[in-house]
Amino acid sequence: MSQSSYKPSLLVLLSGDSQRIAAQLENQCSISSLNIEPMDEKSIAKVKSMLALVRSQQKRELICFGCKDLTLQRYQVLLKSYLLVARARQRFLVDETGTAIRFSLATYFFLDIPRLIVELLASAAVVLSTSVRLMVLRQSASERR
Amino acid sequence: MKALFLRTDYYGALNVGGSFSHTLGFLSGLQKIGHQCCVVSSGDLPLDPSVPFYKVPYSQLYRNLPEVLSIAYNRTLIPAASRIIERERPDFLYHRHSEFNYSSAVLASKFGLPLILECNGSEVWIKKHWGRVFFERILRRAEEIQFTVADAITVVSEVMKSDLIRLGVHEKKILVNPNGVDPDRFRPDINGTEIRTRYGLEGKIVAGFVGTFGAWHGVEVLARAIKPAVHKNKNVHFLIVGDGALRSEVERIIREDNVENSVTLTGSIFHEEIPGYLAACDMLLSPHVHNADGTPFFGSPTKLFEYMAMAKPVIACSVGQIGEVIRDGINGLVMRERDHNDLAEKILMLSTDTALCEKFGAAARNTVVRNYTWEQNARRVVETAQAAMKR
Repeated sequence: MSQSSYKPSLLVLLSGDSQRIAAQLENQCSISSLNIEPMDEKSIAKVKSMLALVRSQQKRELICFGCKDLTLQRYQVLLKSYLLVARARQRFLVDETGTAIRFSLATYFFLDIPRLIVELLASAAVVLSTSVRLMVLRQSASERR
Repeated sequence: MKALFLRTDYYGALNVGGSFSHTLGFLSGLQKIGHQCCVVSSGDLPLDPSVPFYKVPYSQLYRNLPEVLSIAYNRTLIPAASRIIERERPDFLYHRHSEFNYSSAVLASKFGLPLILECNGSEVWIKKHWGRVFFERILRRAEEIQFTVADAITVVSEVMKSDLIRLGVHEKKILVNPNGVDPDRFRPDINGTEIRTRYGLEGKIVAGFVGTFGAWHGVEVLARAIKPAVHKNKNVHFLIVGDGALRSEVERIIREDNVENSVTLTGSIFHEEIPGYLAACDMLLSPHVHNADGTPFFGSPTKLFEYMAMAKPVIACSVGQIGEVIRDGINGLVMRERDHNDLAEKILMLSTDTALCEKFGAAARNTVVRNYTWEQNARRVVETAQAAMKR
């Protein structure tokens, strides 16, 4: 497939400055044309519309999620799951500072998914222990009052 | 007196917006009136190097499930802050209230220190009305414990005080402490020429806005005002500084109204650059709106005080505290809420009357220097902490 037969690249902008992120993206790879789709972070939970966005009929040259700072960006496993099913030749997460994560199947299945399972277990423990701790604190706080 | 300042919010790690200005302003105000502080923060803060600073970041593990990140942060922060308190020996704790965080209540009880809680809104209310809450019981209980243990709760407006009283907080515990400005940083003699040149604004009448594009900032009203304003005066140009949730909506309105050539959207800028951008404007806009669910606007907009300290004429909507600060025709112009045509008319009025602009600007600066500086804000907090220590 020649480069010109691809649909234009897509930058899904979660936060940050689109021009700065696009400039950082161009440092990673050459892009012929780029469409920017601003999106509220909450909208990434809308699976149907997200899938419609990333799974266009014609393959794209590139799909990427852009944000202000990847070290602070939550829900990266979900974003990578969208990249997993996206119809694109290249797939990235990128931020304003130039940090870029190129989507890799091996990293997704052997690092991200196991880490998500650990996170789920640890989260359950945190929520349960916090609930108990807050009951105790509430009791002593009312005594103080 | 020595304060230990706790900044625990997650996205607070991004140094933009009114909350960031508030944090830096309060800390500098505290130092200016001769008190010490040390800071514990979830993210970096550009502080004076003489201020002891301890960064306690959020865990990298809890990044894929909602809210757990904030719940888990207590477990990271409490032991870390305990060690810091033992080293720094503060006289009181000052905590900027954040969702799911109950750490300062635990620390205050453990070390017998007074706790001043800065509350910029009930997190339960904010999450239920503006977001989505998954662990409501934990959120509610954490907030309840913070409110109970705190010796005093500072709020920025009377509206917020009423809200807290409705939530069961005792009236005597609440201090209304509006936000402020550093009048030495935001001052009329700053030169805006470099910014005007950078964006090609020479010879234009520049109407400016700085903000994080929050729902309460009224940025959609501002965007809709551009068309009627530039239709009547093509020399008016809008300089919109910042970034945030409603930016794409603003861009959509600007495209639809075909006024792209009359607007400059700069995106986020560094906090220290803000005075230069404000100096580049001929007038500044604060078209705030009440909350979308009909509840009153409860903030104390730092941007308004920064505008006023620059001695620029301000057009503002008199929602909440703004109505107490801006007196129509005396230190600014008051626009009708959500009325973009009214905003456009007032922009046009100022665009042709330099004397009026100067009069409003001077009166605005006078208002904030007298009543709304960070020094005054910090002094009220110190007095409250001293009273709590005597009890």
